[in-house]
Amino acid sequence: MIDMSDALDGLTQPVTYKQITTTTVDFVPTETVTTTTIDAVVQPARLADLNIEQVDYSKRYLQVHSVSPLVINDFIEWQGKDHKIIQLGPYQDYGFYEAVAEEWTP
Amino acid sequence: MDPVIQLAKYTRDLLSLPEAQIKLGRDNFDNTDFNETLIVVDTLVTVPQYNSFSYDGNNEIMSYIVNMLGDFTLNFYGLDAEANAQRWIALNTSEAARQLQKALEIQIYNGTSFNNLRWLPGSEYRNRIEVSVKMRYNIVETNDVGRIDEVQLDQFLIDC
Repeated sequence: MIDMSDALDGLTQPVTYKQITTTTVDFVPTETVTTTTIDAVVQPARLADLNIEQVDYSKRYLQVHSVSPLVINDFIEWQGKDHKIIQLGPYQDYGFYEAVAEEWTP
Repeated sequence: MDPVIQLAKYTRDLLSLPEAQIKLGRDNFDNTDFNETLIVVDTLVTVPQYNSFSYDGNNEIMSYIVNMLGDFTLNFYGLDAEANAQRWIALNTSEAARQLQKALEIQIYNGTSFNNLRWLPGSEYRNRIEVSVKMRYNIVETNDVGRIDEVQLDQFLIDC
């Protein structure tokens, strides 16, 4: 496979990546947040990449590219707000990850 | 007390299963493997049966108790769905079950139905057995109520 990861060189910025794992003790959930910093290209998501029937126009949608693994249900913190990864692109075999993240409010 | 959590604890301890294999209903859980054992505990409707009171004179606390009776469902998934469902129903009458119910302050009656939901209209699912059961539990709320230590009586005599 062609390695296209160097296409991101010079375009990335450090962003905070959050993984939330939930464990239960006697069925009472406890969330553990693991925070790391990854280099990623962050830009507004294209409308064509979104599921038009599920878009919430009051929220911001981001398109994220990174050589670090991106996982659905993890979070990207950008400009002070958390964005939940809701969609992954099929580019893992080409050296990078693509994801769509939705602005998340607790 | 959350009755669904109490029933989930009861199921976990009765069948000696890991807690991760028992989920609370409508908890937004993604099941990625229908071969693994999974039990989903949920409730349909609960109805108040009767009220009672209990007073702790030493601490001056009044307890208000409502006895609830409800319908609960357990959905068994995985390759061992039917075996686990049958084990649950059979062990429900054991001494261990009685002790667990006493510790969790619940009372579980024998299962009211045992449905094989594998074939749903228009689609095919892997193993899914639904057991319906009635369970009784109490809701308790407490209030500070002063204790009467000394009663003072005033008597009035009317001379007619």
